[in-house]
Order: sequence, then structure tokens, then C-alpha cells
Amino acid sequence: MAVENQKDHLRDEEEDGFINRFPIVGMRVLAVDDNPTCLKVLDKLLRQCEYHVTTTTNAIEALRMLRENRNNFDLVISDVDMPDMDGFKLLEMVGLEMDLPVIMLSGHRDRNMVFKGISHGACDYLLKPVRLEELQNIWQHVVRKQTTASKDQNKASNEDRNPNISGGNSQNVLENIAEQNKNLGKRRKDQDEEEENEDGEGTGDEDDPSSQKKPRVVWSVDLHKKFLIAVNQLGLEKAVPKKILDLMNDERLTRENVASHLQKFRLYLKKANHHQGNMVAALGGGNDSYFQMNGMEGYANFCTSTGSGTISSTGMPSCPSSAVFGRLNSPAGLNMRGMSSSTLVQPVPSQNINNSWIPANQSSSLLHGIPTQLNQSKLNNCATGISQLTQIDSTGFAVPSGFHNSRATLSNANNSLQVSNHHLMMDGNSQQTHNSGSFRNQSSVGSASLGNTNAGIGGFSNLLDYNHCNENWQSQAQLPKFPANSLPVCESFNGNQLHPTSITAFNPRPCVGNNQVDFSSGNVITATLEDARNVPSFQEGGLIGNVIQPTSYAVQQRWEEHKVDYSQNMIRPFNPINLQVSSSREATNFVAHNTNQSKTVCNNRVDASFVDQVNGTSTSVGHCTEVEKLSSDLRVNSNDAYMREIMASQVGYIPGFGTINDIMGTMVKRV
Amino acid sequence: MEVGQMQRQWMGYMKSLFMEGFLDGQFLQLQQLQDENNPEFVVEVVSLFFEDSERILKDLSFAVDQQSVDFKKIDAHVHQFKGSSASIGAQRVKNACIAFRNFCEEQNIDACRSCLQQVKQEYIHVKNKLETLLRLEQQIVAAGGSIPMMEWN
Repeated sequence: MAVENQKDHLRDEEEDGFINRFPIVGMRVLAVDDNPTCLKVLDKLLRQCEYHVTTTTNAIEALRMLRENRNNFDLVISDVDMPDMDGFKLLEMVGLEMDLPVIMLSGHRDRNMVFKGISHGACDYLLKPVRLEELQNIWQHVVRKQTTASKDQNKASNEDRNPNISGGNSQNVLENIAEQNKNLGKRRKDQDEEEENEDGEGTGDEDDPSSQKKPRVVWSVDLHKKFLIAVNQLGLEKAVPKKILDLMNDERLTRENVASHLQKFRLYLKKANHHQGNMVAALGGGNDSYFQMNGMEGYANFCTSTGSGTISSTGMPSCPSSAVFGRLNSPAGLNMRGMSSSTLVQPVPSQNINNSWIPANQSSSLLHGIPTQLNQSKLNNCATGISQLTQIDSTGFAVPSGFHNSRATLSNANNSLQVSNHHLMMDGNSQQTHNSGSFRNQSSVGSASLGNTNAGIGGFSNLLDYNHCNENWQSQAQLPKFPANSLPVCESFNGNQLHPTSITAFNPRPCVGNNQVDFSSGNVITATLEDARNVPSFQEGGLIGNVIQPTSYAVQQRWEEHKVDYSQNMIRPFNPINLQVSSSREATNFVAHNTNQSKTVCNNRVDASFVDQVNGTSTSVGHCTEVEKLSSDLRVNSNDAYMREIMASQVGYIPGFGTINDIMGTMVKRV
Repeated sequence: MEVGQMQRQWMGYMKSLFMEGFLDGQFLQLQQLQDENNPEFVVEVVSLFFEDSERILKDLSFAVDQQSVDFKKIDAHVHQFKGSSASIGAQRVKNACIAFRNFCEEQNIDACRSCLQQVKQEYIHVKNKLETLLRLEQQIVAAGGSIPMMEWN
């Protein structure tokens, strides 16, 4: 019987010492499908496979259960078409927040759907009606994930990057299983997409003489997060592939892989800088859903954390539209908003930030616009930076857990942006916490939270999460006491250590690793903080840390004012992609505008609406001269290429970015 | 009627349902899932299917009768129906749903209306068949017999 064969197989593997007692029997599956008939059948089939099954027809309920304790489940199976939440969103959130394998189920057999599923991070995509044989193999996904994770952890930094080396036989065995599983799945669905997707960015493996043929390296969100962490630790300027590789300690990568990825990342950052202003706006946009979910709070948190004080002072280019921020799913974005509101309120002379910001409050429309659903692959590309950032951020923030909890909603795509945001934030946090070490640890958290944030524009939603996370963070030991709490509404911003978070997180590019972003400004988002009060969360959440830096102007000003803060807070200036959302309500417009222009905004799919919103504000971006310097420091020059590569999408670049670069430059200098 | 006879009758009935396309392999799988631990499984699923279907059909009728028809909504309902009918193996219903969805895409309201009628018909058909089948099963079990296992390729 199939199940028994698998068990035998499992036993063999155990004998090889490879699989650590993974129990197929009793594997805990969460099944989600709004159709009760289908759900009942699925439930029975799963039980027949001897899994332990929990079912729900409600996606929100599923999320709640997962968040309650991620360790309650090993695997999630979910339908795609559900009334209360899109299955893809759920997928992204679960992947980001909980890093659980997710299998999609659908009655749709069309390629695009399958592609979408895979790119959102699904481990597998099954067509309804599901057959017992297919379900009997799903445990492989869990094992694979566990194995990869443990391998990464256990691997000491070794020279041999050959992925096949560790694990020896076991590895092959597992790969075989994976192969089989894939084949099985493939019978039921179009195989091409899967293959295409899995051929991620292959980097130059060929020149590794000792290795057997290595698989192409796919810069997954996780991998990118590690990359970001490493880069963050080293400092963008000092990040060299060899060192990054050592820090990442991943046997799958070669120096060449890292080098090309780093190059892309730098380009991304550069672009992000240019569009920082846009980003900020974009951030505001975020995901509505996220936004709503998180509410301003997340945002506020973000903002507060990032910007304590500085934000307000600098006159963050107020994200004109808080909405913009909202849109930015990235947490950073959110933060920005929060920040912006709070910070904006602050002294920033020119800033209307206060006003416009509170994107969160407003409408997360921007974020909505942003298609958070970044395809995983795309997301990864762009977001890698971001996601990585998030990781780093998380570490910095030390509120990793917070993030997870807070908002899973951010789609991966968002994550990318958000990641960056997060990252930014994280950086800020870490700095605050003065835990450089924490950096490392956090990765999981950060990423989680970041994950949520939409990379790029979507980032906002993340922000929201971020905000929540912030709250958590605060509770965590690591979080330094951000004055962020004080953020509440601008005032706190000033005082708070909000680190300038670069809202720009949106741009996948900037995010990563750039320490460049000077989170310390925290205020990043302050742009448009006009409703500082709208961002209640600021206060509570404590700063996300250096969350997004208002990319443009605001940051700049703040920097000057808070130079000290920055350097202390920011581990590395994060490339505030989002910097400064323009200071007025227009910010959102601005952002939208920028977003439109920037191609690489993290979210591959920036919503048109988002973009529209962003469109308004281009003006604010203009402020910071310092930004100029920043940009130069950043050395981001050909982001375009990178960005394009990363973002397939629609998000336009936020024109404001130019300033971001400037800001970044400044930040870099400060740092 | 003695058990053996009932069982043969049941098998004959099942075969005809398959031959006529009312049911497909998925239903067989459901049958196979039923065991002594869960002896009512098929009955439960089928009942659930009936409940779901009544609800969906009602919603569909309502949607189709609107002045301004919302095709997306209709499509969503039909998709649901297709999913549940596929899950229990009600093949003809499922096929009718597929045809229905095509017309929804084309936004052809008249065709949709007639499709709805067709789906309803198929549903009623299969409902009757299944009820008969399940009744037979109950009788067999009541008489102390067991439901035969059917293999179908």
C-alpha cells in the first residue's frame, strides 16, 4: 500500500541517518476550503493517509489558528477560491509568517493559476478533485523543508558549497523523493510553470570545478533574507561576495552566485534611492487588506519606531497620502506611515507629512493597489534584498515574534518591499538595541515580518504588521526602548528613536542589504504623517526601529538633525527606498507617481490604483540635497537594469526616488 | 429480499450509474474510504452535497433572474458547484457546470439560463439515483450484509 511504502522508505532514510524521525503518521495538516463538501472529502482522504487533520472553511479562521501557534501544524492545504480571502494571499502569509509548507488546491487547471500558486510559494498545486495517492505524498514537502532548514543551520561554514555534499545519500534520497513528488504533481498540472519557476536565477555555477552539476540557485525569500542579513552585518560598502558567502553559510551558493546577486541588489538600491520618494508613497499604499488588518497601528508602530524624532524634524516628505503608505504593504511602508504621521507632525517644517500620511488610516488603498502578490519568483528577485532586509530587520528589532503574529497578511510580494522596510526597520532596531548580534538571530523574525510586508509597494501591509510587531518587539527584550512609544503622533517621533525607515522598502532594490538605508531616521514615513494621531500604534508599538526611512526629504533633514541617532541606530543605513514620502498629502500622489515610474518597485504588481495615488506627489521628493550625496554614496547606478529584472511589474518607479538616493547618500555618509 | 440478492442489485445499479455517466471514479474512491470506523461516510458526504447544492442552486436562480446579471458572481457559484460535484463524483453535474461556466465567460445570459436549467436537471437526476443507491445500501446493512467493494478503472 502506498502509505506503507512510504513508511518503509522513511525507515530507510532513517537508517541513513538523514531524516530525523519525521513522523508521517500524525503529521498535522490544516485544511482550508470554503466548500463544505470538498472539505469533508478532503478531510477524510487526509485521515486515510493517517495525518492529523484540522479543517476550516474560513481562511481568516485558518490564519488565526496558525498564528495562535505555528507549531500546531506541519502543513497547510488550501483552496484557492475562497470568499473571505484569496487563497494566494493566505498562501503568502503563511509562508512568510510561519514558514510552513502550503499546498494549493483548485478546480482551475489553467497554467496561470498554477504558476501563480508556485510563485506565491506554494509547495505544490493540486487539482480537484484530489486523489488519495496525491495526498499520500504531501508529507514530503514537510520533510524537505525541515531538511533544508536544518542543513542550513548545521552547516558550518565550509568551503564546499556543493549542495549535494551534505547529507550524502540522504540528500539524494530526499531529492529523489522530491523528484517523485514533483512528478506526481506534474501529472496533474502543467509542468512547465513549475519547471520554469524552479529555474530561478541560475548563477555561475559552472566554474566550480569540484562540484557535480549544481542546481541553479534560486534566490528564494529566505535565501535573500540571509543575504540581507549578511550584507547588513558587513555594511553595504564593505560587503564583498566572499564575506557575504561566509556569513550566509549556505552550501548551495557559490561566491559567484552571491556576487551576481549582490550586484543586482546594489542596482536595486540605487534605483530605489531614486525613487525613494515614490516608495514612500507607495508604502503608504500598501495593501489594503493588510492595512486594514493591521490597521494603522502597524503603521504607526513602524513609523514610531523608525522615526523617533528625526522624522518629524526632517520633514519627511510626508507621504502625502498616508494611503500611499498603506499601500505599501511593506511594513516599512506602514511604519512609514505611522511614522510619518507621528513624525510628520513634528517639526518638520515643510512637511505636510503629518497630514498626508497616515496612510494606514486612509486607505490602504495604495497598498491595495500594490499587488502584493508578488510572484514568489519575482518577489524573490526583487525582494531578495528586501526579504533579506527583513530578516535583518527582524533581528534588529528583536521583535521577531511580533511580526509573525502581526500580520501575516502581507503577501510575499509585499514582503520584498517590506522586507526592505523591515530591514530598514530592523536595522534601526538593531541599532537601537545595540545588538549587532541580534541581527543574526532575528532573521527569522524579520523575515517573517517582512515577508508580510509587501515588497515594494506592498510593503505597507507589512508595515502594518510591522507595527504590530513593533508592539511585540517592544516587549521583547531586544527592543530598545524606542521612544517610539513616544512617537505617537509626531511628537514622539521627534523624540523617539524612530529610525528612519526607508519606506522605500518598496523597491526591492533598495531594500536589501543596504544598510544604507539609514533607518535611524525612522521617520521615513513620517512623510505625510499628518495624522500623527491616526497612528496610534506608533506609540504603542514602539519603534520598529529604524523602519523605513522617509526616503526623501524628510530623511534628509532629519539626518541632519539626528545624525547621532542615525549612526547609533542604524546599523546600516538602509536604503530608504521609501524615503520620504513627500511631505504632503500629495505624498501619496507622489508615491504613486514614483511608483509608476519605478519599475522595480518591489511589488511586482503594483496596483494601478496605487500607482495612481502615487502619481500625485512628485514634488516633495525634491527636497533633500543631501540625498544627492547619499545616492552617490550608494553607488547605485544601474538600478534600472536590476529593477527591471526584479520587477516585472507594473509598479512604476516612484519618481521621488531620486531623492532617495540622495538621502541614502547622506545616510551613508552619516553612518 | 435476501442479502445476496440485494447486494447484487446494488452492484448492478452502481454499474449502470457508471455506465450512464452519472458517477465517476471519485465516487468509488469515496466508497473505498468508508470503513467500519466510518460506516456512514458516504451518506454524510452525499447529504452534505445535497445541502450545498440546494443552496447554490437557489443562489444561482436568484442571480440569473436579476435585471442586471452579475456574471462574475454566477461564475463563482458555478465554480463552487462544479467543485463539490467533482468531489463526490457526480460527473454529469460537473460537466453541466463546465458548460455553464463557458457561457458565463461569454456573458451570454440566455445560454446561461438554459444551462442553469440543465444543471438543475442533472442535479435532480443524480440526487434521485444516489438516494436510491443509498437506500439500497441501508437495506443491505440492515439485513446484516455489507456493501460490496467495487473496482472501477
